[in-house]
Amino acid sequence: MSASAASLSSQRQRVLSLYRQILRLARQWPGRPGVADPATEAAYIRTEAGTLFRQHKSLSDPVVIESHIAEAESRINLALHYNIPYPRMPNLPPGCLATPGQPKRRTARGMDDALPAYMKSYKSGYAPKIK
Amino acid sequence: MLGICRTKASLTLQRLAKLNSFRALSSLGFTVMPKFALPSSNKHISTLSGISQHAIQRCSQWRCYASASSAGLSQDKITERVMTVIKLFEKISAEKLTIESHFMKELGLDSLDHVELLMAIEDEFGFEIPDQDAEKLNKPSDIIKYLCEKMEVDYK
Repeated sequence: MSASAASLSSQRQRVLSLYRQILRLARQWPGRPGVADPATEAAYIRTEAGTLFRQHKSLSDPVVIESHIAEAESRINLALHYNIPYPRMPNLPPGCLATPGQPKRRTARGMDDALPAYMKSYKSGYAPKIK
Repeated sequence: MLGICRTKASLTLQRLAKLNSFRALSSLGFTVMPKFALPSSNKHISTLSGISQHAIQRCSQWRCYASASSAGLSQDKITERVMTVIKLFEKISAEKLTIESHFMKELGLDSLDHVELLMAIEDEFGFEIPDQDAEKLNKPSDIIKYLCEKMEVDYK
C-alpha cells in the first residue's frame, strides 16, 4: 500500500513537472517563420495540454498513468524534433478499407490499436479542434 | 644582485597589495572579481588605501544595481504584484481571495491550475521557480515569502 502510494505521488510529481515543461515550451515556441505563427501554436500547445491533462485527471491505475506519461513525453520530443506541435494523424484514405462505410468493430479495434503511443488520447473518438 | 632583490621584493609587495585589497572588499559583504577591482597595470604599487578606495568607489557604483531596495522592490510592492497576478487568473473568484487563502482547499484550484498560476508568477517576476519549491507554495503568503527570499527583500 505504501509502495503504491509512494509510486502514485512520484507519478503525480512527474505528471506535474511534465505539464510545467510543456507550458515552458509554449512560452518560447519558435514557430516556423512563414508557415506557422508562434503565438497561435503556443496557444494551441497550452489548450491542448490543458484539455488532455484534465481529461485524464481522475485516472488511478498506475500502469495506465504510466502509458499517458509516455504519451506526453513522446509528444514533447516529437514537437521539439519537428518544431510542429500538432500530432501526425493516421492516414486513412477512402477506399483503403475492405468494406466501404463504417468499419466493422473488429477492424475499428485493429485501427485503434495500430495508433502510435503519442496518439493514445486520440483513440475512441477524441478529436480536438485545430484552429 | 641588489637589483634582483628589489624587483623580487616589489613583486611580492604587489601580490600582497592585491590580496589585501581583495580581502578588504570581501569584508564589505560582496564578492568582487579581482579583474575589475584591481588596477590592471602592474608597474606602480599604489598605497594599500589607494587601491581600496579606488575599488570601493567602483563597487559603490555596483551597489546601486545590486541592492533590491534601491531597485524599488519592497515587500508591499511584491505583495501588490502577486495579488494582481492571482486576481487576473480566471479560475479564482476575487471575493474569496485573501493573502492566507489556500489555493487547493479554499479557492478550489487543482494541481494543474496551481502549476499555471505559478507560471504566471514566473512570467511576472522574470525568473524560474524550480519544481521542489513550487509544490510548497500553497498560499499567496507563501509565494510572497519565497519571492522576498529570492530577491533579497526583507520579509516581515
